[in-house]
Amino acid sequence: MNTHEQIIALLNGDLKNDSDVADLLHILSVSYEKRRTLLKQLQMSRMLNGSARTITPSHAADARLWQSIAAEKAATPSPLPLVERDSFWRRFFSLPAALLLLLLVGISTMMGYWLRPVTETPRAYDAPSGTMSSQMRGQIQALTETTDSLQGLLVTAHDSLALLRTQNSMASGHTPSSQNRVTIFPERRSAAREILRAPTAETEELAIPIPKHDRSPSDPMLQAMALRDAPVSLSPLSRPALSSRGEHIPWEDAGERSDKTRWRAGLRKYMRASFPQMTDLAIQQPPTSDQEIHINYKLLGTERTDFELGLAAGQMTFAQRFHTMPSSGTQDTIVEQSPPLLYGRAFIGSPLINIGSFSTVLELSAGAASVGPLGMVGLSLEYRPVDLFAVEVGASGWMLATQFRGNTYTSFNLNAHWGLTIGF
Amino acid sequence: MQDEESVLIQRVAAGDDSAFAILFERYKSPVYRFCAMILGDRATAEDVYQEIFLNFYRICRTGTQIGDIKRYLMAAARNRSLNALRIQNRYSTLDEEDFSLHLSYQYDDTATDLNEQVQRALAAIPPQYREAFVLFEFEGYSYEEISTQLGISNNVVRNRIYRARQALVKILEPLFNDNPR
Repeated sequence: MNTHEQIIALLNGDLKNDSDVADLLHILSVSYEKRRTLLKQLQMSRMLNGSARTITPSHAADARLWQSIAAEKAATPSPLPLVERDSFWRRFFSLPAALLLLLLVGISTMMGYWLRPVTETPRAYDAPSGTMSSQMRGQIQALTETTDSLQGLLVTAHDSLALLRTQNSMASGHTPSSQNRVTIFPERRSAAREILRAPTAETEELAIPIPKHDRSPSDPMLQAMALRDAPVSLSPLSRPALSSRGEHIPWEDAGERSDKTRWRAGLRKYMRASFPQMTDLAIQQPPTSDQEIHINYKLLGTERTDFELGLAAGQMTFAQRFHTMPSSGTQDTIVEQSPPLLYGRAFIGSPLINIGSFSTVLELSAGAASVGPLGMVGLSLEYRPVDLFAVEVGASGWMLATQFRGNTYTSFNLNAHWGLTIGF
Repeated sequence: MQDEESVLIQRVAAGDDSAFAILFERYKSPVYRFCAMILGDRATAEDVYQEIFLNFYRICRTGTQIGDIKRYLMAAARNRSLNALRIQNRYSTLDEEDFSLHLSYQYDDTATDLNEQVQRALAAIPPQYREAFVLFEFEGYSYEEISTQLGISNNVVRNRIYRARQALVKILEPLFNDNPR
């Protein structure tokens, strides 16, 4: 190998023997001509590499290629189903983001449920709104207040009488037995003293306003009057069994509602009902296409706030048509595709109208398919002959954002659906 | 890498053009550069480049898996470029024992663009030398890889690269900084 070949071998990385490298470097150090040869090679390499960096395909060439590809694709539909897509979802909507989205949906629903406008704190025995007229509600409220006030008066009167009996028995030398002992509550003692301050406590009528609208034998007011008018005796007086204010008095409806099935699972089948229709892009459909499974949890409130939270997963052929404009801006390409996509979504169902076993449910949903985020608004008519089973039919509008060649395109579909739901 | 590219090909087969766009962006520069350097003519290089990727797209659409996509594309670029040279009668068989360089280069005083001069110089050396040199110098192939790619022995590869270097230095020497014209 002559010196010239050694220089090129050195530049190509072929001169691996240390002694050869040392010999060559020695020759270069003493020979101007050899150094010139080396410098020429280096200059040539630098010049070529600088030139090579400028060799890039033009945008016009790229645009022509994509045009040819679009024509090729239009001529021959895809023979194979989609196996996996490089997903917009994976890039921008990772698992933590999906969980966050679900969490936000859940929190917003719960806040809407708990912070709904309420004028007063609901009592346990309040009737559910919508099941009785406002007139009935007013009457019930008046009766409740009257009963409460009568209960208070009755307790006061009863304690006062007991105190009088105690004083009488002490005056007559009788010691009340433990059986007859009456406990006087401190807060009632003051009320009793007020009554005793009256000059003719035993003979005059107490100035107690008595409502006259209820005179039924079971009325506590009559019991109080009977106590007042009864002659004072030493016979034991049984304390009336009174319900305390705020004690739970469930209505039948509330009992029924608490027994309702909260968890439901179901299957739903979709049928594409409107544009874009792209039957010419028919590709091999998997057997699970256009179906989804879902699970719901019902939040019981008043009937208007019976929200359902749910998760659904399924596969759908989402027809997409959008225009793309390549970076060169010279070619507008219409992309049409209808790939079967896997998707998951979280939804909120809200009842609108309930008539017997039928109800309409508005469904709002957010989720993601394997190519990007999606949203759905649906309306279903649900028939529930028994609490554990329901069938539904409805329609839904879907929006899907697809990542394609670095850009995001939005597609819309309108679907009809039917489904079955089972409670557990 | 190959697993990822297999998935991309599957996606192309399923009609996902964005997957093909990923492959295209990954390999378009080396393929075009090779074509342009071998052909020495950008217009012809663009035609060949389009044919290569359109054919590659057709293959992907069938779902056919390709083990080494870059090697496949570079082989396609070489074959199509040499075919184009044959069509243009710019390709002749090379006598490996003929050590004299038959350079068809004449310095063009009117060409002011340095890149153009360099490309003309590269186009002046025999295509057999050129392809080995381009693969080695610009695409980072080893002697063994070039040997496999071109179907020639290591020594022949080494010899062709050496001769290409000699020829290019000879042609470009007037352009070097310390050799003003």
